[in-house]
Amino acid sequence: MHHSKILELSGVGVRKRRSREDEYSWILRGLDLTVFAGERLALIGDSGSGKTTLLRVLADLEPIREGEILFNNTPVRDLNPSDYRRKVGLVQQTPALFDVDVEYNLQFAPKLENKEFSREELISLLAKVGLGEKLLGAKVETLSVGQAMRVAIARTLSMAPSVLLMDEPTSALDPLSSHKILELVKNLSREMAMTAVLVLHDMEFAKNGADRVALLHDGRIAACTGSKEFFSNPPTDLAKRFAEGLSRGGFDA
Amino acid sequence: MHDVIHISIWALVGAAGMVVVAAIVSRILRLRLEKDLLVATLRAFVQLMVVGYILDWIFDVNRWFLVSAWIILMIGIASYNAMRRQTAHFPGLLPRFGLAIILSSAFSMAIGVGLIIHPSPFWNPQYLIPIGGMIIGNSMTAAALSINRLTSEMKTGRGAVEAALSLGASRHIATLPAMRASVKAGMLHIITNTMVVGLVHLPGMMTGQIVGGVDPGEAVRYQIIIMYILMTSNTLSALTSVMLIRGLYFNKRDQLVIPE
Ligand SMILES: Nc1ncnc2c1ncn2[C@@H]1O[C@H](COP(=O)(O)OP(=O)(O)O)[C@@H](O)[C@H]1O
Ligand SMILES: [Mg+2]
Repeated sequence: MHHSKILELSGVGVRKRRSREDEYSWILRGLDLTVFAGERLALIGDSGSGKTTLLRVLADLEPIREGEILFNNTPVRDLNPSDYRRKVGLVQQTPALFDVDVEYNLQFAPKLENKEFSREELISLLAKVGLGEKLLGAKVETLSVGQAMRVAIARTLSMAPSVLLMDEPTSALDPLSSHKILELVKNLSREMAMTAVLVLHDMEFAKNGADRVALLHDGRIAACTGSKEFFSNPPTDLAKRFAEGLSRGGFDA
Repeated sequence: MHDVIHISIWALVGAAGMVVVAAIVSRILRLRLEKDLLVATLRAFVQLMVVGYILDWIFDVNRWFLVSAWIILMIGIASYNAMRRQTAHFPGLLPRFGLAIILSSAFSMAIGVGLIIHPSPFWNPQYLIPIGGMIIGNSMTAAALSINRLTSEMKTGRGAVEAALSLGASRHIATLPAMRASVKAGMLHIITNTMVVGLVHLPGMMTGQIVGGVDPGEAVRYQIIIMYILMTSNTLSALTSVMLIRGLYFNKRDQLVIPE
């Protein structure tokens, strides 16, 4: 990989507790990971292995107890949170759209900077995620799950982020819409030269749609290689289990 | 206040006998409320007798600083109670409840008692203590309700708050919808009460005045003023407590860290 490092995590640790009476436990610990500019990185791992937490760390929504994160070689803690988050956009697993109409959701980020999209810009933003202009005035509660996910993606794209983070974008979708969304993400990241970190349970897409695969286990990166190599020649036993899951037609991660 | 029947200590003991009915129901249905009933009965007796003696003394001595001290004590207890009624506890709640209740009740007492009812002097305990007590008690309820709502909005609406943060919003912008819902929750309680006032139940102050010998027509005028004042003080209390407390759910990097 000849690209420059856009995100670099070293020794990152996150601990959480379920309530004030509960004990803390480490969710991530001693985690190292590098994300290169322009690549599509797939994050995989068993359920509960910390994929969502890691994505939230990258989105600057989760406080870290240890370690450091560099964004273009600058420590994230030295950056203004809003500025950083505008450059590293997160699409959550369940799209939490704002409770008005689609247009409000798309105008939210520009309005924070006292800008506003023209109608043409809104239409082209919707077109990017494969939606027609008729949806602009639609109330969010009338959208299907797939449409809501597309609007959530468009909402994040409205900031033109340099990094797009997505948490299992297809977990709530039927196979056909999943396939469409994944193709969309692949094309978008290519066209907009956007770096993408995608939490995936679809190994087929991890193999064909991602440049590299990072396997999360016990709060650390257990393996991280190019995706072709990961599936043809898995570096560890655990990686093998995931790669073989592919040939069995995928399994629930 | 001429034709009020004096309540003797025997009348009080007789009234306590009424509690026996409740105790019997509790026993028959095995509700295990007998102990609570006993404690509540004794506490009501002791607390109110003590308050009665202190107020008698404050009314007798009739000095502004004693009246102020009593008001301040009520505000302190109200703030503590607002905090105790929270489903989630975190540092910094108590002083902010205190400030919210002080601001909202000071404003409402100044306008309502000072300008509208206009006793002289302003601190006349006959007016300021009962009306101030009502204002402070209602401010407490409004503050407690709206902050409980805010906490639950942060929990159930976490996705939307974090979506806004992710789009570059500050904690203030990200919590605007939660803030509106919480202030509304604090205001609704008094609005509903005001709508049915007099139809369903006669409010405590009006009841007291009528028993005390005031013409119902006069008592009603007081009650109308009180209800209007309470709508303002509740609104101010809900608004200020939400404004003062909503930042506490976040850390310095605008990350939503409470409730954990
Ligand atoms: N508030 C919390 N307190 C304690 N543990 C938590 C909390 N939130 C999540 N966890 C735990 O952290 C682990 C990682 O969760 P998550 O990042 O959601 O995993 P994944 O997305 O890979 O399924 C899980 O074991 C989960 O139970
Ligand atoms: Mg997850």
